[in-house]
Amino acid sequence: MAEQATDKDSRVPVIDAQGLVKTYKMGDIEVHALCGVSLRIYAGELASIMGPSGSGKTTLMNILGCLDQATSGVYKLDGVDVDRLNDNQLAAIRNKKIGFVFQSFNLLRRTPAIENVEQPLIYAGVGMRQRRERARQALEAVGLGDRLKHHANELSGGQQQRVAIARAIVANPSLILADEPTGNLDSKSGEEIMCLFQRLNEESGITVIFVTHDLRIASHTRRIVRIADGQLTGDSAVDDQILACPEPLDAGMAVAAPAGTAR
Amino acid sequence: MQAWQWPPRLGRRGDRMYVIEVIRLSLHTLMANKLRAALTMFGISIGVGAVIALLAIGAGVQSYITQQFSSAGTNLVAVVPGQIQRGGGNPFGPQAALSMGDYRAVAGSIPFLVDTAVDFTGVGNFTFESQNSQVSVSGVTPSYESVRNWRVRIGRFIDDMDYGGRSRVVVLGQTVANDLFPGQNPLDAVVKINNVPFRVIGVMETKGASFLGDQDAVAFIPLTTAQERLFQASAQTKGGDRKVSMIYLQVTDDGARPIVVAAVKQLLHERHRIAADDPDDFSVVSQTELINTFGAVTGVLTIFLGAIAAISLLVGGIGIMNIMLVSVTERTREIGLRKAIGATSRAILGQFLAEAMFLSLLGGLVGIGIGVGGAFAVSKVADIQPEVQLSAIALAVGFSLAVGLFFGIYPARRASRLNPIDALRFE
Ligand SMILES: Nc1ncnc2c1ncn2[C@@H]1O[C@H](COP(=O)(O)OP(=O)(O)O)[C@@H](O)[C@H]1O
Ligand SMILES: [Mg+2]
Repeated sequence: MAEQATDKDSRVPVIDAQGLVKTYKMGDIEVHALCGVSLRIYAGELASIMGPSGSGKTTLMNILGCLDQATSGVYKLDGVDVDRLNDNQLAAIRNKKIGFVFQSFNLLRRTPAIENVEQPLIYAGVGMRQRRERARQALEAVGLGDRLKHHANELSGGQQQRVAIARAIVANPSLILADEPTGNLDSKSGEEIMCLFQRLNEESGITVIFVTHDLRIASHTRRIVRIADGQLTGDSAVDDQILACPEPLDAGMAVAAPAGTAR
Repeated sequence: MQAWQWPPRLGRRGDRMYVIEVIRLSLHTLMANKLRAALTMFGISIGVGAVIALLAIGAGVQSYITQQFSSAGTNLVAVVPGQIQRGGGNPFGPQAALSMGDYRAVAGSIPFLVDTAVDFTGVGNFTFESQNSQVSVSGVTPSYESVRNWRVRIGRFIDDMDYGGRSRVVVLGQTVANDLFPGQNPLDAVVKINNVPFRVIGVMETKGASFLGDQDAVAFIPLTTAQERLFQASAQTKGGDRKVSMIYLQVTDDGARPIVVAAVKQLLHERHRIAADDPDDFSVVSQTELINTFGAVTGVLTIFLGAIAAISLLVGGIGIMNIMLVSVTERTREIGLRKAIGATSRAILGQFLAEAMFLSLLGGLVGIGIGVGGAFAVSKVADIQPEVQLSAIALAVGFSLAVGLFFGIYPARRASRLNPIDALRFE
């Protein structure tokens, strides 16, 4: 099913997973978190993965993000078989190819926003001055150009998640993986975050996959993949009915900045 | 967008850059936890301070002892055959010999001498009843007892009568007395030395062991008896004189010592017909005993201080390890995040190791202050003048760095091996 939606497209998929199985062993008990998941995602897609709690969403994201490896199955990222890579190569892929956004933000607390955003560039070996500049640009892109020096713990939840998104895009990854990025936010901030993803996807063509169990949030994406008990149960394109963002979105982040200041 | 190398690699440039970043990062973290960092550092500071202060005090004690010795007036100058500095001295070798003629010439013509003594030493096989012992036997002049300031404990020393009469009498060192006469009074007993019977007339006071060995494993007989009876064959010189093993000169005072040494050298040069650029066949040594005693004192002191240093630095190191382990646990999520955004295990290892090293290095630097201050404080209350040595400072700081490395490596490895998924899940 998943293939049918995009097979007409003959490009190499960014993500090409075939028959992914993940089994956790807890003593004598085996937990089958994923039981044969096959999924292709092409460059420039904005897709959401939906499913109830415990259905294996995070497990799948960790594998797609090269943080974890499947028990069996084949996973190719940009045509490269990830199974064959060593730890350092995996670290380099996470650094340059993938941007993570987590439910709980995972920012360095007593550290200014701009330094939080710089972190991936440190591991990429980017020099200090260039790092600053790119981090500043990333923060401006998420509408936090006026919060560069604020410490993470001085920002609202929505702002913190935007710092995390800036950190995810600062190294120009080809893929953003967001695991329930709105899970810790009120619905208004959640909406803002979704619009931000939508805009990033539209403007720079970056591939975004995120996980949610909120259909309203998922409606911001063009494709919804459903998962239950470690198996894909549905895959639908929502090309035309994609939920619109508030008007001012087109004018850069005009909407996000005032919302941030109001808090 | 840039063209990515695929699969991407973290380049060398990244590695080099990371060294600076790691230092920045670890300083940042330490600053965020100032009190904790300060307390941990202090453990190392105490250790380093203790080493520096104690070594300074040790050096001060050495100087103090030197002073005590010279003021006690043990102004002893010894003349031995051969070249002891070059390790070639062999008192019994044919080419290196001091003779009775040399002794008489020195004793008769050198100024500033209070007294002189001379010995000729060989090895004797002692037997008493069933006891048997190989002992160094010195034939000595009666003056030996006062010149070396080494007295008999019981009985009497060799006197002029013994000397003149080539008597077969012997004074035993404490070790020999203990070996041959366990629990008995050796006075007036007759022992056989190389099968010649000798009467025991005295036992020397204990001198103790030095790093050269047991100084009490000796026996004394009259010089004449040694040269003309017991060791008659080996005591012959080529010129028909008799050999001596060592000449002792008791000098009037410190100032006279260099004059005496120079005069003895000149006299023996003439007597031995040594050309100006030929090596000497004798050595003039001053205050050898002092040096020997030193060796023993310094050795004990060094072991003692080394132990204290090791213990206190060890405790400081355990403090570092403890704090680093706490820190790794507290920052599990941070480690997970860093791995998720591309940190290699090596990068994480470097970050935590740098923190441990910083703690120990800063601790070491503060410790220098404590050590120098402590040494100074001691000089205010005690008679000793501590001497802070640069080498002690270098040693202590080097040690503290090593401690940081040693105790930091385990927590850092633990951090670097964390699985990013588990680390990100960690609450
Ligand atoms: N590290 C683990 N060890 C054991 N079981 C795990 C582990 N991680 C996830 N699981 C199990 O795998 C299943 C899927 O988990 P997860 O992927 O986190 O679900 P979701 O993100 O959809 O809520 C769950 O039953 C969960 O208990
Ligand atoms: Mg989850």
